[in-house]
Amino acid sequence: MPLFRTACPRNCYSSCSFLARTDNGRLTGIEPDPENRATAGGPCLKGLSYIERQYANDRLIYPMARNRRGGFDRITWEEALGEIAGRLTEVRERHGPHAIFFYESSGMAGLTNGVGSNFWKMFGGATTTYGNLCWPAGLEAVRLTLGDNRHNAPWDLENSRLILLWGKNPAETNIHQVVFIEKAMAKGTKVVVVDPRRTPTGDFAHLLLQPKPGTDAALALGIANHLIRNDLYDKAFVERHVNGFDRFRDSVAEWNLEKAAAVCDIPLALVEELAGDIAGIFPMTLIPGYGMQRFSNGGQTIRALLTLSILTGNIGKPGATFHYANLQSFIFDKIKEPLSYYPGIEPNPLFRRTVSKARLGEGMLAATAPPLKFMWTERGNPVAQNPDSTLTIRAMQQLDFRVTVDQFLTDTARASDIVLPAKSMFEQDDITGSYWHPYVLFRPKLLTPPGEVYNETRIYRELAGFLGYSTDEIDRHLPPADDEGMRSHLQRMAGEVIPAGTELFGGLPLIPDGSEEVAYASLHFPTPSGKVELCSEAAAALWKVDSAPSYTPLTTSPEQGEFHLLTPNTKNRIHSQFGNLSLIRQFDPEPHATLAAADAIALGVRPGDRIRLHNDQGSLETKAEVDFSLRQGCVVYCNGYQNLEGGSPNRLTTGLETDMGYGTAFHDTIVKVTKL
Amino acid sequence: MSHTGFIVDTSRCVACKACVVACQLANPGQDHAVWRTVTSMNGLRYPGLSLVSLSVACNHCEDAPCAENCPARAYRRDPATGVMMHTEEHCIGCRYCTWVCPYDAPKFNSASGVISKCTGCQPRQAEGMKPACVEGCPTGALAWGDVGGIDAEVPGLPRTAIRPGLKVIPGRKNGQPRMAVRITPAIEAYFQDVGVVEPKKVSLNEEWTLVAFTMLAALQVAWFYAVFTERAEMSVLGFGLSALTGLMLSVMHLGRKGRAWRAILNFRRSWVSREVAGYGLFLLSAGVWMVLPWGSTPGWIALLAGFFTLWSMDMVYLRIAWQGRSFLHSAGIFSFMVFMYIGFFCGIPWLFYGVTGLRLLLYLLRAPVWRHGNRDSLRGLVIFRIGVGFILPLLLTLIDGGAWLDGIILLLFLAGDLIDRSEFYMEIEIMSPGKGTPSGWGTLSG
Repeated sequence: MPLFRTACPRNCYSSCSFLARTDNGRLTGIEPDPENRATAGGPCLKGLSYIERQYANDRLIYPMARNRRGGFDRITWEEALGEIAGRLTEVRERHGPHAIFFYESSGMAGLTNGVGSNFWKMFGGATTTYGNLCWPAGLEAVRLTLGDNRHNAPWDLENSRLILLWGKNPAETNIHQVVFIEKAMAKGTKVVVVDPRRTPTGDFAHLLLQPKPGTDAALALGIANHLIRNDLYDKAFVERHVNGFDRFRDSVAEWNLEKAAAVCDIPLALVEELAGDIAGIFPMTLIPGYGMQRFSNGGQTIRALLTLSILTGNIGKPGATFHYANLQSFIFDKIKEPLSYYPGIEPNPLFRRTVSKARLGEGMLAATAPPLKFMWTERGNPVAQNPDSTLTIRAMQQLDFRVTVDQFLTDTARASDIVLPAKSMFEQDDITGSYWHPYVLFRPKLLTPPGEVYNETRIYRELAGFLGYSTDEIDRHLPPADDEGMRSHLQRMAGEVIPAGTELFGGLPLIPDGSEEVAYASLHFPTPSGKVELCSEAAAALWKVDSAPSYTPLTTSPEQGEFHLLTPNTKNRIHSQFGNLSLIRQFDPEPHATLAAADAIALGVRPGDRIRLHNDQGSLETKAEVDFSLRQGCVVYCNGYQNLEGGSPNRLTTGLETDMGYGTAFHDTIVKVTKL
Repeated sequence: MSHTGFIVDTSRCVACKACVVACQLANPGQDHAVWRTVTSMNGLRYPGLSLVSLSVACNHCEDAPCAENCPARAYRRDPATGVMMHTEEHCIGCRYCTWVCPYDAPKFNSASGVISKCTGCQPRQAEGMKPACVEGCPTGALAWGDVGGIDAEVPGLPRTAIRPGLKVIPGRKNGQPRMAVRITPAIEAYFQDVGVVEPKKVSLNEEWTLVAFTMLAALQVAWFYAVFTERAEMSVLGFGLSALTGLMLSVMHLGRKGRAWRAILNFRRSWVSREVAGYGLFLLSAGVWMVLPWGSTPGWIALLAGFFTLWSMDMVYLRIAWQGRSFLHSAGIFSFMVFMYIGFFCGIPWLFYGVTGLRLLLYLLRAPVWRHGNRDSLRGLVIFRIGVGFILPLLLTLIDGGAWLDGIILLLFLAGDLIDRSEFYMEIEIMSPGKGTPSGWGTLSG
């Protein structure tokens, strides 16, 4: 039974390399790939469950059309593409191409995804999106401060003496990082976790600080000024490599540990211990998660955290890095994140009109001249995953026609008129990178798609044919859909960027030339000043924030009897993916909300009771669980549940952008909890 | 002596469950019975208690209680690897191995009606591969190798002397993270209330046939004693019907009824086999004594076999750990029940009142013990058991009322005993990973 090297394309830090075992063209095993140093232990439970996902009974393998009863019936590709082409032509004639809404998201990474944009450009344009649901506030914060987004290689963590995991839970969301943390701990490294929850990561930490959600910047600034006032910072580093120190020092003069402890509602002793560790233990790797920057103050919060790494000189050295995102393997992007999320960054006027991902429903409804009439969704599930599900559904209902390409009948697919079956990761050649490790990864086609699954390249090519484009025009705009054609297309694309690309890296994980194991080791920063911009005039100009990192309270704050809604990711899903598989469902059979014990007592709730989470946006009925270590005043309902399985948390969230980067401030959400 | 088995490094385990999925994929057919379990102690995350996760399947113990106690000899050790193998084709689905294994390794598959369990991935190992769970562990927390023997008491695992093939490397960081969640007396009380939820392996719903069977056997032996000693009248038809009922009840419990005959194969070591064989011999020889003119010998054999059966029944339950583990349980079959009914059927006042009094005393001493927790709803049953199952029939025996009253008294005693024996099954607390540890330690969901 042959083994093939491939790589997981999910929106996940780890982006594992793994070996796929096949038997007579059938996927039979998934095994670790030691060639990728970052993920040598092998994939997580989700990666292993690809065997089920590939052959799942509920996988879509034929085009489907919604019938009058709301169910879906199989149709032929001719019927599907004929209907879609007819609708597209009609909309373009009557309203212009910008009445077409092209929505794509992060469901599967790969260079072949570019075919979508190419198709819609050929079509004459479409309305697209700007911003991102995930990480841009933090990306923008780091970009403004350090110039771009890089951090040390994953294995460099072993060199750290202090690992500060701030709002990150790698035990569930980046399991391979745990391996390096554990190795560091074996050498005596101290681990501190900052998180309102006691996550599986918090469980192995030495110290756990549980701030009030949205106050993280206050904690950072309190410690920052403590370092400055007590001469506990790296003066040499600051003088030589940092721009804006004086301005920053003045701006944080009012902060101290006591004030931080009060704002964050953490005992002073724990804040003092953390401040002492940051001042006294070198080198430190500070690992912020992405959850903390999905607040309305998210960008400034990440800038505030960065000050701790900067003041202590924990940049550009082994074991010393600000470990937010490592885009060194994103070598094929012409415009790198977060700039690619800016509205209007796309130079092609055909894509001039964009709608905010964070305020999707609102933006779709607000679009006039022309109004949106047709929506094409691929690699995304906006009904479940974008804020304010109710408004997203309403905006979709206002359209004349909806098409979704997916492997499964998601919430969004169910809200569509035609659903086209999507390929799996094993069914077309592709190339991905990682935002954590430095490898570029080739993913070969290993399996024949089941049923009548077409890869997206073929879907678009055939649709173009139905729209009346000639083969010449199609070939000019779209890559070939056949296996050999796609392979040489990828070889050409990759070869234009790196020489090894022409051989697709020999199929091995490749660290591109110039990738830094220790990021910014030269201590030259691609910022306007060439230094670390502790204060940033660009930040003030672009985002109307203080040029110094600052703490801004959230737009909303829970009153008596109200709760912060935390919607973290778990090990069981990548957003709304994987939840349908029995291998996953056995660990997470039904949605549930977790309350702190003190809150459960106050509400008279016992584990297993039914409760309702509700606010002005909507409500969710769910099962209650209790966590005796959760911070009081928080209720946890994990990200990724769909309405079809009991309710997306986005029924409760509001469409709101972050302070910078066009991110999504999911976490400013306040809910009430009622026992049923 | 050292042997091979699983090595679990708790410093590296974060309960990611990849091992469970890897096991299921490499060993299909676990839809209803998953071999490997990750037990996280302190799943409710009580501050001040650390959270320890243990990935456990079968430890292929040196002195494996599964093999020792399996009546059908479905277990055998593979001489080459030392792995304890279970043969599904030999299994009768009695589930006794799930009671005696402290690690919950044997899993009952309700779909197939038999047990299945971890094979140490023998087929993979034969091809030079690691067990699937070991290969599937992304953090390197699981290994397969020389375990030397369990070296220390492991939090969350029962202490046993069965020499499991398991080595647990304790976490290097002792204790929970320093943190600040406040525990008030109200939270402490709430924790005591909701935190002690331990799944029961023995459930009365599933085992009611055993309650009925064990009580019926006690009645049959007592009645036979009375007939044999000529203190009661013989009824071949009645005995025949009760024998059929007993056989039916004993077989109903099995997942694979057609293989019931295998239940006597492990007479040498298993009390279950002895119980089954003894019961069969009792019915056969009692029947022979009643209908064939072969003298008193078959009757003596029947008596001996009968008492041996009831003794075996009590031993079956002594072999597993249960709260207040003692031979002297008020619902004990050999220890009490049979002698009370002998006293009743034979009209031996000292035996009847002596045993009944002792049982009442034991019950009173015991009743408050199991009434803890959320079982207040059962208080009514306790009162019923004492009032209607003991006091009332005892008072009625003081009245000279003839056969119909004796019938009522017997029914009242049986009703009381049904409660007592059912409680006995509810009290059975079998050793499991996560048990016997500070309260609130249980399996973490998700």
